Amino acid sequence: MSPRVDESMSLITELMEHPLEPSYEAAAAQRREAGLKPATSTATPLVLLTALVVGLLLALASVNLRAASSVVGQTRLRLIEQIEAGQARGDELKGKVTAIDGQIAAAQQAALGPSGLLQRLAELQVATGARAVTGPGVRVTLDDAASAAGSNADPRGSTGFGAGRVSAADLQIIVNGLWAAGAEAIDVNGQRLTTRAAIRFAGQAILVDFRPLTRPYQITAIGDARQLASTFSASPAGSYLKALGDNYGIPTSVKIEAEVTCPAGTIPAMAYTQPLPSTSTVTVPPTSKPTSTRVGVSSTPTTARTTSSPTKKATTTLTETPR
Amino acid sequence: MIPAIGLVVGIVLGLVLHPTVPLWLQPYLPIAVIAALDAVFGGVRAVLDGVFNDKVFVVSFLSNVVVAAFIVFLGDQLGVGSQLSTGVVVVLGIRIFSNVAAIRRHVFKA
Repeated sequence: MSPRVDESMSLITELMEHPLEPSYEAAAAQRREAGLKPATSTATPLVLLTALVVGLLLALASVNLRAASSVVGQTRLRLIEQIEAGQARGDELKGKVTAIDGQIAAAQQAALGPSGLLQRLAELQVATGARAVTGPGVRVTLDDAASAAGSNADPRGSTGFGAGRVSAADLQIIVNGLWAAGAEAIDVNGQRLTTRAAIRFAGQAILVDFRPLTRPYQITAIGDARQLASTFSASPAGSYLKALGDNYGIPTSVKIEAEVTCPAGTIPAMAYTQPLPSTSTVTVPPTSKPTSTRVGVSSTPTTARTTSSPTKKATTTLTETPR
Repeated sequence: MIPAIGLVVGIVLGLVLHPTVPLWLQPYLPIAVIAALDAVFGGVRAVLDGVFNDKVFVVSFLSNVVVAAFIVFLGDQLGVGSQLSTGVVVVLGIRIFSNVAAIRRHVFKA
């Protein structure tokens, strides 16, 4: 055989041209010389055993590969179990709280019922937001713009990304506008706004009463529904809401509802605050507006901290918010 | 036919019994599978070529698996285990492809 041109490639050539074990040919040649058929039967016990071993090997390898991924799955399942157990525990505790609240109400009823103090307590609870209330009202709904969904940029930060996200300042302006328009009780996503509840932000999350909100944002306000809606729409806060939709694609809606409910807020017990002795005691009629309720504007650089009347606050906030 | 039944029985046994492979053997499993596949396709081609020999088939299977495992073991000891594994996979892979091509020519005449 003459030396090939591609002698240096002999290894690969050998591999490509003679992939079969050379011993097959050698064994066949031997059997031919002995006068037998070149091929033996494929049904010998030896072949069967080898096939069995090969099958076992294949199954072993595939089972082994799957086992690696199932470890991750098991961890995941265990975490999900933990979450579900925690949620069940939370629900159970919530049930207990409700039951104890009921007991407290019953005890109050028994202790205060005859003296007429219960009626007064209910009035004060309504005024401070410590009691769930219901009545006609307006429901304002906001959501992040579709373009901003999934983007983690700052809401209307200096970078310009995430302009379609609802910011804490937006909610503050709208809530102040609703107070100014005559709302008597407001909650945001089920968080009642009380004297101690502030709308603020922490990073990109909007917090109301230190509880983070998830979109969509639903603001429920109780008041004279028709008048509330029209006054709000005509107010600067109303045009601000419209501008959010027009300029940033934030879906907004203002709906008049015959009956809405605001849940009770948390009013921490005051241990040190004492009322000043005053010559003329001011009584709060139950139907009066909770004028003491202010929406905190802490930690919002774009909004000024004001303590003036709600009407003035809404206007000043608007003029001082650069867009 | 009988070897094919043996193969299927082996796979079913492995799936049903679910034996656990000891940890020290696990790195050799993928290489052993490729070596076994090479032996199987070589055997099938030999049958079609009319030169099958059961003894050669068994010996080639065993030697393939043992040598492949040994190379991986040696590579692990020298710190070049992954490179040597790649070498084994390339060589056996080429053989598998050539054998499968020959089988294809026999079966489909193409």
